[in-house]
Amino acid sequence: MRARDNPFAVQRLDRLAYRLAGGGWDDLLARLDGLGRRAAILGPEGSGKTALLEALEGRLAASGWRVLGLRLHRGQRRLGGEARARLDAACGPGTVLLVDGADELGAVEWHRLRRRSRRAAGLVIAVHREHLLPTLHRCAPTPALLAELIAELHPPCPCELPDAEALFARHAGNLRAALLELYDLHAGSRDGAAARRGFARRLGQESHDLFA
Amino acid sequence: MNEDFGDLVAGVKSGLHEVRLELAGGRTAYEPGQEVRGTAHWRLERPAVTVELHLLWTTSGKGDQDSEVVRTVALPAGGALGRAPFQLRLPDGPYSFSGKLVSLAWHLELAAEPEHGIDRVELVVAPGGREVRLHAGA
Repeated sequence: MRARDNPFAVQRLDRLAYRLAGGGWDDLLARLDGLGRRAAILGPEGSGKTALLEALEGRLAASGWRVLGLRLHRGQRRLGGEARARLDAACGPGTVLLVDGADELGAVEWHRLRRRSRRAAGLVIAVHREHLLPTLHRCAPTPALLAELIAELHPPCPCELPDAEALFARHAGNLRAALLELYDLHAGSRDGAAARRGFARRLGQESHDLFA
Repeated sequence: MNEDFGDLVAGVKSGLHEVRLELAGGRTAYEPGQEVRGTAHWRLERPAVTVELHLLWTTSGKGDQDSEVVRTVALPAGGALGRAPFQLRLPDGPYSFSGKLVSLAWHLELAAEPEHGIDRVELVVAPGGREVRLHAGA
């Protein structure tokens, strides 16, 4: 199977829409306004924080806000010069800042970011743990959500879905890692069928009746 | 100028505007270093400020997606309705390829501003005009 044809290729994962449970977007945006548009999205690795932040960017832009997004990489303790210049140029009363991975920053750099963002209309960060900003939303994936994402990425035969519960448990709820395991399985065969049978064997299935 | 948009090789309608790339002979497979010829068509609500052709490659697969625009050609804009022939020499590499972990594909993209009309056509750029397969099973 070619990498580009793999149903679990990263570019397909990146297009998955965040599933917002509960009251939906109207509730979330109202809550954000109630928090003065300064809040945090919490969640463990691979729980969908980035997807939610990207979806929020679209919603804010549609509401007329100018949005400036910054994405920090693991171990990035400081903002780079270019990011600081963008912040200084763009921060204003019509701008909302979205910072993915804000908990990577050192304490001093975090306070510098907050100071720089004072002129902005809002600051929303995505972090792994409780932070200095109030919690807007907590990303809490479930096996059912993983099953739903798998079905969206690989719809041809829902009956061929792998055991999402076991996959979810094996990756401790990291949806991205779970989906990339399925990438590897599909990459190992021409059409994925052999991969699915191999997946069933790994789960200890004696027969192939997991798949039709 | 009458524009027949009925036979679309590739084209994107967005709202009331439309941009379309037409490659000579409908050809999409090339040897590295060969020339791509074609015609860009656009029909916009307002006169185009810029009409540009971008030659780029993108990766897909297990890792983060990567891309690079290797060439940009500005076409004569002028007017809300227009067409412009183009010719573009393709680079010697990288080749279009696919393996199990990563694929690389070339694209020719037509962009008309300010209405953000976009059309993109995938090209194969490789020896013999055939995508290189890194594994027998890929």
